[in-house]
Amino acid sequence: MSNTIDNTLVVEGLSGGYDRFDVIHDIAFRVGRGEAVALLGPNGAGKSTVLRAITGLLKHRRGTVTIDGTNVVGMGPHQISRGLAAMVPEGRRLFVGQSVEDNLRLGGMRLRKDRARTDQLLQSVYDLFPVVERYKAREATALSGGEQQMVAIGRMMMSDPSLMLLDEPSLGLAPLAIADLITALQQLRERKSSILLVEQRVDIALEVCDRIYVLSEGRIVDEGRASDIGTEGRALIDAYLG
Amino acid sequence: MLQVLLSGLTVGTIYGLVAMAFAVVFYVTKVVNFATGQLLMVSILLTAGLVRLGLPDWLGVGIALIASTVLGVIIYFVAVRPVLKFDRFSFAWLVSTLGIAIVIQATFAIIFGPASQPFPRGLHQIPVHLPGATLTVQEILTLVVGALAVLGWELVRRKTLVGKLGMAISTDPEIASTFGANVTAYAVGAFAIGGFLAGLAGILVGPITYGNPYLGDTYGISGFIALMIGGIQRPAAAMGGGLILGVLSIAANSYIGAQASDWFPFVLVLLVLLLAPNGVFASGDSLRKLFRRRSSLTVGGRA
Amino acid sequence: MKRIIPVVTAIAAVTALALAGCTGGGGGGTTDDTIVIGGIAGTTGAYGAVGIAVINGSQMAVDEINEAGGIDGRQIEFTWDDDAADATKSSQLFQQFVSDGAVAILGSPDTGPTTAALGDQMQIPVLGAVDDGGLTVYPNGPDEDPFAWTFSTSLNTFAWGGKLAEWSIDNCPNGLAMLHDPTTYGLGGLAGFEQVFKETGHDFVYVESITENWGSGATVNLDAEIQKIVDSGASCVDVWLTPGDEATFVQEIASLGITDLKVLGNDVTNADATFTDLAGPEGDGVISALLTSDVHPNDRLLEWQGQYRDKFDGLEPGPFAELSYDAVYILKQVIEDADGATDPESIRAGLNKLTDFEGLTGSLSFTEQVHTTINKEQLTMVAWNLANKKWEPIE
Repeated sequence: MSNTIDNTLVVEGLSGGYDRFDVIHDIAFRVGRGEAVALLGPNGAGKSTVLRAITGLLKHRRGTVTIDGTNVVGMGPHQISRGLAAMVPEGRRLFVGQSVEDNLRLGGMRLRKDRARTDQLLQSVYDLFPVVERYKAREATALSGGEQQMVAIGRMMMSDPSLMLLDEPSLGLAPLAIADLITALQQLRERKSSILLVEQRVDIALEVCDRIYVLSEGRIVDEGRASDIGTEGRALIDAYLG
Repeated sequence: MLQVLLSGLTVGTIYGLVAMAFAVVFYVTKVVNFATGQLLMVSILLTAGLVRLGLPDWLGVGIALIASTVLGVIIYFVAVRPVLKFDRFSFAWLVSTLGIAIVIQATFAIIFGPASQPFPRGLHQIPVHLPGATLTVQEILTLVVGALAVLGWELVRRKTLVGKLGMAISTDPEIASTFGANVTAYAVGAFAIGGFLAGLAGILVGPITYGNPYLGDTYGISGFIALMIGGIQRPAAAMGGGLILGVLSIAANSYIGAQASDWFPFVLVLLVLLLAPNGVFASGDSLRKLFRRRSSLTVGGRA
Repeated sequence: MKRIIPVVTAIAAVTALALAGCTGGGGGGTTDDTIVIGGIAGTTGAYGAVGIAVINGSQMAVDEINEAGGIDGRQIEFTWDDDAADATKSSQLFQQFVSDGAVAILGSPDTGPTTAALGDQMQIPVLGAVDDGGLTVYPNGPDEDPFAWTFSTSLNTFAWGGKLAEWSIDNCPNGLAMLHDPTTYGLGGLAGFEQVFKETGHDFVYVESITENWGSGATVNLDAEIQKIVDSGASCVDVWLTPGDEATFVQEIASLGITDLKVLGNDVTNADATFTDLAGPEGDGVISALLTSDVHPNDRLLEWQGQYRDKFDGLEPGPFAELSYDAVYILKQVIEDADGATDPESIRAGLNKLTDFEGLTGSLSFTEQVHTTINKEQLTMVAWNLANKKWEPIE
């Protein structure tokens, strides 16, 4: 099992779902250290369920999910959040009624006793997203969709996790905002963050990620290196995803 | 006039504290604890009983407050957590909290008997004469405690990370938990605060209403009405609902007739539900929009 | 006393009933060997002590009679239940007991208007603690006919109202204000006052009704009413409310520093210790009326009270226990006088002829027009003496 050392995330034989009906079946994949991996698939393929299983939000799950050598199946979300994984949820889900900075500080909840580190992380978010710093005193949910996405990514960065999870970050964003998003994700990658990106937009995934997995009806049906997939492959996947 | 206002505010603070007890629990867990009125009763009857056994007043009050706080937590573990664990979206807590209310009431009726018990009069014996009104020290204390409860709550909610995390749990417990919030711990805390606030209301109203095992019904219903008036989403608004209910009930008593307090609160709630379904102090409701529209119209007229 | 009972309590009562199954029935109804008597009283709720006294007093009489051989050799089967002061529950119990073969229903002190009306409808004698007499027995007022099937041995709001009205005329130079509850209990007291005032050409200085919490015992805010009463300039006020609210009233006026207002109570004020316990020092000097037989108890009553305490673990006896005890013995005498006939019409006819029955609560009679045994002539004015812990005569 040498790959647990090289990998931030190793998923093996993961099944699970809701009310005893499995949505995902025998999933296996990995995210290497400093690697960006995309999970592609059509609506209802089970992509979000995989993320929920990793973060602990999904209670009914079997198999192993190893983050940094720790099997997190059986752990609750607040335990997994202690440095192992953090997520940008679908639809951003910023904390309503709270300022941008409060949203960020809540993201760094687990490090609240380490003031210096929190301030340093906060500064790194502001460096990455100057717009977030400009609006730090505003109510987070009053920002535009693109700006909110920056806050959501910042909130995830604040917990300084081993594994960063992003669930459909491009959903509902204007084209300009999507361009900003891609830039932001690339910068995260350059910082050697381990990233698992769930997307429907193949172009974004290919632009940002090293490798991709294709999920369909709760099973991994294909995988490959992003660089190996040419225009033809791209069209094929596009057609496949519908 | 001043007397009506002050009496109304005092009564309203009691309703408001009970409403806050409801609201704090709802804020964090989205559960309405129908045994809240019984927690008020527990603090009154325990104080009455302990003082009768010879304990000094302050010690009786202290033990009673601890008891109502602990009982609040017990309610969470006995009546709420098991049913939510079974199904997070079920409404089974409607029945289970009502059930535990009956159990608490019946237990206290067996221990203390059905008749009312005297409560130490303490500060309620000392009148304070103001021009045009008379209050007792206990009533002034009630007003102060009510103000402190709202102030304290808002301070913690807005100025501390613990409070902000509570807010986050309130709006999105799932995401809050992925950032390290222990939702169970917060739920326990909410039930404890709810128990404490209801117990506090009991101690403050005890000298006026005495200790009776069946009191929970009356104060539970009044507190719930106050909650509906103020809005269930924010504990501070619930206190506002209590004050409105208190002042308007006493005013109705004075200016409409002694039986008006009977039907008046329900008419009030009906009006609120029609005009501002989320409570008078909730944002974005039609009552507020009505005022906003009117004020923008006047501004427009001047321009 | 009609009490409004909230849902929670009602559910609790039903649950308690299901768990305890406290009805003693299950026999074969009234036969040559047994006579079934039904009992209805609110034994739970904030003022459940009254209901408990009613059941205990009745039970004591039944046990004595059965031990001594029954009524003409027939044992009494006393089957009772808690109506939780709820009219619906009460009517269900009434019909159940009648179908079980009950020859008469005792009670209810809490849902009297229901039992009295059902007695008339089903033509079954209703006896004993039927509310606090008054308007429950005479629904159209003291000068009209009573319910034909209802015979109250209970404390009588007309009697207390009349007695207190007479006293107020002589002792309240600036007149009397009245604050009463809006059920037959408070309205009966009001009718008692009005009757005497009409005869003597007097009137209230101020009168107001206020809704109360009989079920939960929560007191109501009386600040506004106290202000109006003070403004009216009355020398006296009759507070015809729950014992809890009466206690609040005397404590509130003490807190406000009002010392020149004489406070009068009603039949429940001194029926048990609830008021005096709650009112504490501020209850000193409150005026009411009491059964003369309780003010000056004879040897028989004193002995009975001792037996009551022994039988019920030291529980203090009171008028509601005494008058319920009397009701069972009245029923016994009526059945014996009719040579054992237990059909409803025979019992009713016998009750209408009851004359000078020597009970614990005095010498008791009914006629076609008089269906309450306790009338104002049987009362003595009393005031609470805190130092002696006693209601002492003031006449």
